[in-house]
Amino acid sequence: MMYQVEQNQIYKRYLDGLYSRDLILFGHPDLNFISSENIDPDKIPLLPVEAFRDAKVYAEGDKNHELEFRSSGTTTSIRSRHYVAFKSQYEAAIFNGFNYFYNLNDFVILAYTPGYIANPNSSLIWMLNALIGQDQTGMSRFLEVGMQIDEDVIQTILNSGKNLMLFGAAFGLIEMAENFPIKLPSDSIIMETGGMKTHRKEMTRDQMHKTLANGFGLQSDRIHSEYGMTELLSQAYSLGDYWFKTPPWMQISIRNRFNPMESMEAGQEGLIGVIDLANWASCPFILTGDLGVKRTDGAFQVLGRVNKHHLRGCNFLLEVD
Amino acid sequence: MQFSTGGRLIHPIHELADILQKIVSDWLSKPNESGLDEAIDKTISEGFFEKSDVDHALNNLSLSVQRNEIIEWVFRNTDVQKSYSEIIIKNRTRKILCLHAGNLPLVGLQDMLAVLVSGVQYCGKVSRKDPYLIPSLLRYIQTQSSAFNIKFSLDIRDFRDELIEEWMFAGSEDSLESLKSTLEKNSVISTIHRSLIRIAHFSVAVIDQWDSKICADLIESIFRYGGKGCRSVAVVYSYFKLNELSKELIVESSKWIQQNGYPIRIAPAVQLRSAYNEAIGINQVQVGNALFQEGLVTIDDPGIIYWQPLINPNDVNSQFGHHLQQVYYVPVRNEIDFKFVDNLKFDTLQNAQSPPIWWQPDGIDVLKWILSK
Repeated sequence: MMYQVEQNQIYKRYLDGLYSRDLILFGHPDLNFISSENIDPDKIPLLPVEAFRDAKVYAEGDKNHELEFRSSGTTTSIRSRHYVAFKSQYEAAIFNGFNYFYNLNDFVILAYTPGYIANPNSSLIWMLNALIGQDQTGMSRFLEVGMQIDEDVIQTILNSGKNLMLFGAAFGLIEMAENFPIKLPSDSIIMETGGMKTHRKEMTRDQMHKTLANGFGLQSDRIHSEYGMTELLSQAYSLGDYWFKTPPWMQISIRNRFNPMESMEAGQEGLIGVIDLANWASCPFILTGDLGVKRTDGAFQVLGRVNKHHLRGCNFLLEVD
Repeated sequence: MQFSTGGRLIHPIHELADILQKIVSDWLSKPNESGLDEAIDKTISEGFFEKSDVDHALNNLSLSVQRNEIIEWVFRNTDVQKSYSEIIIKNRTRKILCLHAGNLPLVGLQDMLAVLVSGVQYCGKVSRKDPYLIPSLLRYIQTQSSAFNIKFSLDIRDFRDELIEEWMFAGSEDSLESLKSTLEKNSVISTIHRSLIRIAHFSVAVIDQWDSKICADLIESIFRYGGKGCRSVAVVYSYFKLNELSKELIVESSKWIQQNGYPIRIAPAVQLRSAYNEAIGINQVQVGNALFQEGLVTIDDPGIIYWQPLINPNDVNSQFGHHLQQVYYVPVRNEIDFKFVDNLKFDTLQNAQSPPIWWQPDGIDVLKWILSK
């Protein structure tokens, strides 16, 4: 926290602005509370994720960044940019995070990412390349877009004794499931990374997972999800039950959508805030535009994007007694 | 809480308009007797709305629910008076469910009037966010005339098993599917139904000239109802830069706040945005409770107003699509001769918060929708 205040000019100015408006005192008379070692994550001021779109969010001063990621630009015409000071930091977050929930050595990764190929600065593509590059067998790879998975490839993976993980953005996997259905080995995992907003169909997460399970001949608990974004170096994973879990250096804080300085109780809906310490060289305290809900054990669900313009105008809600 | 009236007489439109105007006029002018005083007191004391917003809504009601206005509204949607009587007879067996949103005082009143004027049975699910004003008027109508068939309640369960075939609501498309399914599951509406869904959320103003009257109209269009109405301005496209007008806007807003007895209450989300803009370097001005800012438009909190360079008003429609209610302009001495391609969405800035009875939410005349069946 102290490092951010000292090194991240955007975050520092944001905190100064909040303090000058008496917004984040939390019983603390001044900014000295941030030097405390026991800061409650639910009280940390979170920087709106749009900052990565509107400014350079960077805490490493004059040091040249080693990586630059850009969002796909599907939400706005202006893309977010994440300048990553240390490549090794992203690699560590990817591998340690993955291995916290799975064992990378047990898997062959097949990646299907139509649409993302056009974005050479995609953090998802970079992550998949990193995961694929770790496979010494050479079986992990990107799949050709618009083609069925070769049955020989599946057989080769089966023979190797490894498990198959089909990794990709939700809309691409759905198109594959619908156009090229194929029965995968029963212990395979489909890892969808979200990203339905560019898809032709509106679909609930439940419908999406059913379509994927049917299209690939798997039980629904074999459909897992990854929660990540250009602005975050770490990922959360849901292992087949819609509840995302984070690695130890990442925490979720659900915030009041009308006052993001306030955190919500477990079970209450709000904006998803992420504290991702792997982001220390950019900004580890981020308020996303996603709605979510958290359990007491820290696991969280993503309920979709918040439609901010609905704060204006008529908004009929059926009150249930 | 459920009331209904039974048989009705059929009136020619001018008589019906007289009746409606008299009832509304009496309800407003005899507030103690009509129950309006009590409704206002409870609305204010229980914190549903600011007093000045309630006064404004009632004042606009008294101006818009006039005999000639009602007749003109009907004539805009029917060819001749004779055909109106035929429609009334035909409509006796129809019921329409109106789901009122409650974000502004008396919001949904236009829907109610349209249903009553068309001779259809009004089934009103009144909002718990505006639980006194509309019920007060409905009760008064019931006591004063048997010309209208009315049933209303704060509880949707009072419409269970009604299997209503037509319904209308204004709100978010996100909640539409779950709402429809709940209504169907409880047999409130029939599985085969006709619906009128309005989803516009905000309006914009195009300012190509400036004087104190325009400044006052702009502040009214932004501040009235706390910016929560779909006719409230969220984006200003201006020939003038924000910094050029900021002093006048601040002075005018102070005057408006004082005149309307509004509390100075800057929402936390607005303060956070202000701190964020400072950090990023986005130009902004705090104008009363609202933050006027330049930069990328992402319509959100009613307290945040986006100040943008002037564009052709016709381009605004394509930018915001169906979320846009109205494009306001200043009609006098236009320096730029805008040719409006879609007249439905254009209105004058001074009308922003005082629309006529026939204004069209989402560009749809509700009476036309009812009578078109």
